[in-house]
Amino acid sequence: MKKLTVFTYFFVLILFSFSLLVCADEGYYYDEVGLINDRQIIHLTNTLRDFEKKRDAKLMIVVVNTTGNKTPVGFAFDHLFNTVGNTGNGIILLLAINEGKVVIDTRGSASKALTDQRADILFDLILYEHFVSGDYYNGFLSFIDMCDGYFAISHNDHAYSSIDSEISDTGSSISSMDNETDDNSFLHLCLISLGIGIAAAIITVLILRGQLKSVKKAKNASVYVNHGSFLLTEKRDVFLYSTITKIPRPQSNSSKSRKY
Amino acid sequence: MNAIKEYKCPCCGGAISFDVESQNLKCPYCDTEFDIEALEDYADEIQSNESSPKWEAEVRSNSREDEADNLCTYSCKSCGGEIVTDSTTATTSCPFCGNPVILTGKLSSNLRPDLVIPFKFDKESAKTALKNHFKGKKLLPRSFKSEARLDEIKGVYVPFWLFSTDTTSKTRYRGTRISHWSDSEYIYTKTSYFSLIRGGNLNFTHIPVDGSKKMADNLMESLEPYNIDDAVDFEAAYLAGYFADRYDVSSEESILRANERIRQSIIDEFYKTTFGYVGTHCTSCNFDLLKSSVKYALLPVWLLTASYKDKNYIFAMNGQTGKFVGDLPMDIGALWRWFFAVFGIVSAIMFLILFGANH
Repeated sequence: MKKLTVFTYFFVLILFSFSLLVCADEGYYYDEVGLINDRQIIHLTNTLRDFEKKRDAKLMIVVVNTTGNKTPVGFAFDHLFNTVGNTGNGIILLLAINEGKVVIDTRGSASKALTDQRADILFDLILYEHFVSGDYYNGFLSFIDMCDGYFAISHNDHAYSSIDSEISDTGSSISSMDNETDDNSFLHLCLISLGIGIAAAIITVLILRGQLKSVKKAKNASVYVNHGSFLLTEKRDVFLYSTITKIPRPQSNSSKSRKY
Repeated sequence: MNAIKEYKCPCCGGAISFDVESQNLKCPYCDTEFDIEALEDYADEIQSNESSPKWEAEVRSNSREDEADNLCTYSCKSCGGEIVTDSTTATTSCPFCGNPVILTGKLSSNLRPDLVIPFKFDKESAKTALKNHFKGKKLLPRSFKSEARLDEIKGVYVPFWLFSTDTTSKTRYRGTRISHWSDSEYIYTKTSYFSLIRGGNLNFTHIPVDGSKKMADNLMESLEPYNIDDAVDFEAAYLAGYFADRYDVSSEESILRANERIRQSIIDEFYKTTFGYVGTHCTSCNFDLLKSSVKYALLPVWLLTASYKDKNYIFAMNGQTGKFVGDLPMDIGALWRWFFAVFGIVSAIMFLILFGANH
């Protein structure tokens, strides 16, 4: 009996370890540093797997000590590309501990759900609410919840899961921010359309008005130039001076990174 | 030499005028055509045979000039009616019998034109051109076509100065070249400024400048170009049946305008050699004239005046090429209708396109 108990215990331990390995091999959560414990890893992995099944997009959380020769942005890009490929859908949350950087990168349909504005909101909420205080586990869960919420919004999915209740406060603020963002986009569309309409109308009436005016002074006497009389006898281009101006380069749009 | 010359048909005695189709003098009554030179000789002979017996008593001459009013008075040889013209009128018609009259005194010696371009289009062509001028003008008031009254239509020989010259010039332009490069932090823009010096020759032939104060300069310049190759040596007979004025703007006064057009032409022609630069503009242009000459010519113009809602509108047609010009009134209501229609349609289409692209 005791042997059976021990055997069973080891068997379960092996299975548990194997499940960890499987989880690790599945690539949902990779942690070099050990920010969360094993139980949290399992729960987190299951949540990430559920997310992939539900949203058809792989959500990965990667924690490394250093990104080595690559920049954190480049590391995140390569990891995501190698995992989901050129045509896949995915999101990666990378924590580079030594560099002190957090990077979010997206691929495929996830780019549509997790826009730059939404990524900024995520940074503000998970970084300053959780990571700064060392609460990585809840920070990761909040990240998954909010990504799920954004996918739901982008697919107009009104049947939210129970995760919604956890993000109801943040979700409502996100959705209200999103509503504001959507309202702003609609306003921009209207303004651009009206601007183009006004420009087209002005050009049209100027052309029609120009038809009524046919009396104007001659600009020059080019019609009376003798053909073949033009002769260029001197042509000199003299350099006078030059000026140099510089402007800062704009940031890249596909990846977002923050220091914390 | 008598101040008035009339051309009478040797066959029927009717008043002869210049015919556009045949480009000869033609009697409108018996349809007989006459060669211009032949009729000139005939008319001169008739005039030279006229006797003018001297009276001991003072007689009033055929013409007198009232310097205070700048008017001239003549007696019509056909009906004896009094013809009053201003000092610049060279041809007119008797207001009583309609006889075309050429006031040769206004076109003699130093006032004699060097060249004339005969009319190639007749009065009916001018009326047709006026109707065609209205077509396709979306902002023209609809009532203009029906309510506008054609007050006057007359063929006029307008005095022009024709300037011909060779030029040698030196023109300076300012041009810029722009280059960009960047590193990991900044985008750099280098703007280099150059002085572009161009020198050379350019020759002009027969630049016309309006020599009459009565004719608006912009109206006359709108009718260009004239093909001076079609011009012939001046003969008074070409003017028969048309109005004509002698110049009242001298060639010295017209030189300014000719120089202005020559200068702009030089700037435009040499500008074409300044490629490879952006924002190029002229900073100075100096030119000298060589072998310059001025000729005095009469060029054909059909003038039409119309009135609409107590406003006069002047139209003109180039009597050689048929080019028709004249400003038309605008319907403000139609302008706003077009504005809002285009604005509404384009805005709606753009909104649908942008909305579909974003979603």
